Amino acid sequence: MELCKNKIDVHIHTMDIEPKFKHLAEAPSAIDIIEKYKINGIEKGILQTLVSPESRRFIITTENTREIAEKYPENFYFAIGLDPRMINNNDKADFSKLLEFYKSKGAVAVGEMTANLYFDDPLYDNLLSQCADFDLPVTIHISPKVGLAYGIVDEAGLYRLEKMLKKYPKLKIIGHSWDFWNYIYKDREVKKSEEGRLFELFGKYDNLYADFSAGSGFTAIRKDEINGLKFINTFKDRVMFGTDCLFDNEGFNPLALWLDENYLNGNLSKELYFNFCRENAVKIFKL
Amino acid sequence: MKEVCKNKIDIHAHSIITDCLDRTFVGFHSPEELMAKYDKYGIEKGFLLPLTSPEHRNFMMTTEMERDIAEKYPERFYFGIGLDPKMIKNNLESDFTYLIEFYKSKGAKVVGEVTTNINFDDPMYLNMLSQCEKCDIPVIIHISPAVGYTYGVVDEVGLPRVEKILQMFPKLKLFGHSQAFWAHMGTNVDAEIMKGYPEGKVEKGRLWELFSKYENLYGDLSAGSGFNALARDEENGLLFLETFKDRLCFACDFCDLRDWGKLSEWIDRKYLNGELSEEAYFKICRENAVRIFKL
Repeated sequence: MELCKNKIDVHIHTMDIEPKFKHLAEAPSAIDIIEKYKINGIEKGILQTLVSPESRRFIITTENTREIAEKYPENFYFAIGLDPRMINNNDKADFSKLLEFYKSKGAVAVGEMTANLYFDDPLYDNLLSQCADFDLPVTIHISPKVGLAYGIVDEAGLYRLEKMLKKYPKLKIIGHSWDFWNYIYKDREVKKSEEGRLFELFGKYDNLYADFSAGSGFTAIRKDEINGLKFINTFKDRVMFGTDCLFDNEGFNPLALWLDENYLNGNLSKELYFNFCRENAVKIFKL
Repeated sequence: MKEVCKNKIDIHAHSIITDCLDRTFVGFHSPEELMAKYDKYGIEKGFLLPLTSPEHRNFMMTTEMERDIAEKYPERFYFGIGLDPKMIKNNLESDFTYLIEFYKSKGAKVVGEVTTNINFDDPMYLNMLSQCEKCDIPVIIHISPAVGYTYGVVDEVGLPRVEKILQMFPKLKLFGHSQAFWAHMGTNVDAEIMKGYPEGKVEKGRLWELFSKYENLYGDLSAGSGFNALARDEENGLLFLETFKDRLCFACDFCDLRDWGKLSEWIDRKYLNGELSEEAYFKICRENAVRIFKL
């Protein structure tokens, strides 16, 4: 059995800042990431922006990500940073010029969306409709309430997410963050629990996709390995590998390690393993 | 023989690194384009102000971008710090001081242009402004008359929230800017007038009152709004300049490439004609900026 040596990381951030102030940085440098990618068998990553101000020290713009992706084209793609308050600060804002321009320059996605407004706010509704028109997948970060850190706001049960999934069936929404993955099981506090809301949403809506990056995605599988494996097997065409800059002191990403180990010991089928590590990202983002 | 000021300081500028951007929908000037205008109007240096709040933006002009340009052309530019009250923690515990001190240590002279479109006395703004005061750094604000109307800190007719901030933070140097601010030169102001450029003779309005009462209120004379406030009634405008000559600063806010130096030409002419005193002229064109921003 050979491991996947060309994983695609669908969720990474980068920024450069002086060594003395590295503790302020939102993300590692591109060089740091490329080194870690070698250790983890990751070929390329999709550089996500952070353009909304909520909870940020620094803004990571589309220009920042595009510049890095153009400097290291063998290591990175880039996403477009959009905030629903941009352009006109109203629900008539026309994002098409931006979407068209950056797509023509090679952008493969929109994200990471973190503006701390309700998911079905007219401003978000307007923005998402246009992302759907341009057939660009959208990576979202969910927050449970306005004023709590950052992220698109949805409450218990993710009913606003469901509203958007229904309204824009052609829009690929890629879920991410603790307040998304908390819904994989019915009871978030219990180690072994029944199937939760995400099983239902993934079952009903084939435009919902899974970004397993950061601690939230990885914990979602590990917390209840039986149901975790059941989830990724059931939805094996829509699960994707990501890091969101999560690397241990030796540079290993725990999800990459877990995927490799579980493939080698037969817990993951070849099809699921390679879909998860790479093939789904290639298909969904049209890489 | 009178000579016009050839080393004005422009306290309100923006610039972009143009390689990445589509100039058909992004305005603003490259540093070279801005410097060419500066040479034409006798401007020595400008403050590059980030635009880091998303409202009404088609791209994000970060502190890092403005800083990069200022470091590339240190003889022509300073830079400002882009802050949004939702940054850091998106709550009232947000500590902006280490970010302000970081950029101050790199040469930043001001916080601005502040444009987050929430009420100016929102607790999030109060938290941020208290820390700007603590760090002794001036703040340039753009005022909007309503939430959801373009961009800018929100205040209403009469600028009651600006007054509240001036009272709460007496050591904070607050620079007013934009149509909604300068419309208050006269008394005839309503929510619609705050969006535009009122014309005609001025009866001394709210700005006269606020500038008289609060020594921590300063004037950023940039853009069409600043110029209009003075030129709509030149007698009033010149009296305003003389009366508050220690707290007004020359500025341009060149955004569109078609913008030209209206204020520069007008203020030069008024000085040469003897309608504006030498003291007021040179203070407004340069010396106030040097003193206030500790250049």
